[in-house]
Amino acid sequence: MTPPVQALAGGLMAILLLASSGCTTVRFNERETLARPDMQFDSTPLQAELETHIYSSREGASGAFSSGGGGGCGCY
Amino acid sequence: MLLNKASGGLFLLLALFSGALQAAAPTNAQLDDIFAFRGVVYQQDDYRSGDRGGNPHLKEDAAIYEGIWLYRKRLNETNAIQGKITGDTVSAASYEDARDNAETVSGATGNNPGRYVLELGWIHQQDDWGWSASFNESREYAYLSNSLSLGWNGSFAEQATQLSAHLQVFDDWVRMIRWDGSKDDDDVRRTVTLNLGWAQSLTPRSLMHIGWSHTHQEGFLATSFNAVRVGDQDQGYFDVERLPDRRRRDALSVRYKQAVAEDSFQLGYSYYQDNWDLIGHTLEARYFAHFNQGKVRLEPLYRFYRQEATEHFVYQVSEPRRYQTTDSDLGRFDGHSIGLTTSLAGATPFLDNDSWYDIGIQYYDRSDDLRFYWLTLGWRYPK
Repeated sequence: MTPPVQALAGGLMAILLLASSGCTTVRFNERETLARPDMQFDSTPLQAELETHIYSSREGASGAFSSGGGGGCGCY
Repeated sequence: MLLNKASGGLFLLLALFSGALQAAAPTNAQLDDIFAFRGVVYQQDDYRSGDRGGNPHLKEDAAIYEGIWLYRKRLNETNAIQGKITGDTVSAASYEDARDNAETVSGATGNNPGRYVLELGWIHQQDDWGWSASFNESREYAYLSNSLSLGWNGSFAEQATQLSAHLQVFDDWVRMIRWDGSKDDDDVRRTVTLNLGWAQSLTPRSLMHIGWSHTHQEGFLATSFNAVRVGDQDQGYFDVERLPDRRRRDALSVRYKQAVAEDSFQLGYSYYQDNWDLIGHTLEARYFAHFNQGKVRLEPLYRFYRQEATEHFVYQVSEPRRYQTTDSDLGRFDGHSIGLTTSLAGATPFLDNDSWYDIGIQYYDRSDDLRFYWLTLGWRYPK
């Protein structure tokens, strides 16, 4: 892992651990809007997967907003 | 060894969070039966100096037609199985050139008239946590791949915090067909990718997602049929592309989603860096509009991508180098893409329930004069 990304990833892991400690920002009975399909990230998995594949094939980066790291296809 | 490190990290993560998991009544819509199809038409146009965009030594015009079928079957209250089939056919100017003239072949396609992918998976989902596993096999003329993936998700704090981890291991085989049609010994490429995600509800109408993707690759990481010009246009010749046999790739992303009445919008930024000194920035904005009691949805998007070239990128060299590539996908460019997807809910002929039908188009303009667009048609049953 490259140093700047290592530092950012370390910070992310620390935040993840804090977030899992049990603090609740939105109660269960307040989640009606958040439960809507359009409020899910990547709510259409096939579409998101397709976009990821095309972008990863024509750009040097990978894994911008969803999984995909460069394996599985000769187009990388 | 590589796999041990990655899987060790995943199990450490699982161990950290498993203590907070609670048994829950197993009712989860993520396991419901579903059949989905998506058809794709992809067209790539090469505009530099008339017809030379991207890599100046290649014609990179291409057309790809792809179909994806997905079927998921619920087995009981907490388990489902899933299968997916993907098939491609490819037509490319560079492929025609290569076949007719034994010239260089584009990285877009290679000697590759088709590709298929098979995926089989198992999903286990409780109310507050779940896991999944899948096996994937893909075949192209010059590239074979097998992969295994494991996923885990957990909800905490009354579902306000949702964590996910996904590990995928690829074992790929590269058929070494060079740009001039000559052949070398086949080689391998191994890839391990770990994705960690954290979705956090901020208010009753907004949430954010932070993701980290780390990939480690080993083996033959160049494209076998790519070439680099050595010397000038008149006296020069082509040499093979050479790239290091290890690559570490990291991407960090943050996304924000906000409900606006019945609609919503999403903003995202991602930073990518690897040890070939390639850097990528991605900005993305999406809007989700609803009409007719939610039976019609419009999703416009804009995406900006800026890439700094890998240290090994060159347009041509005076003498062969240890590492050299003219692959335009590894060069410096900016990319703008816009898109619109329209979805309609309606009756399904011969079946009891409604379906979602969608049609979408995206257009991508790269500053190195490579442009492409793709059209998608989708069907999902039941709605």
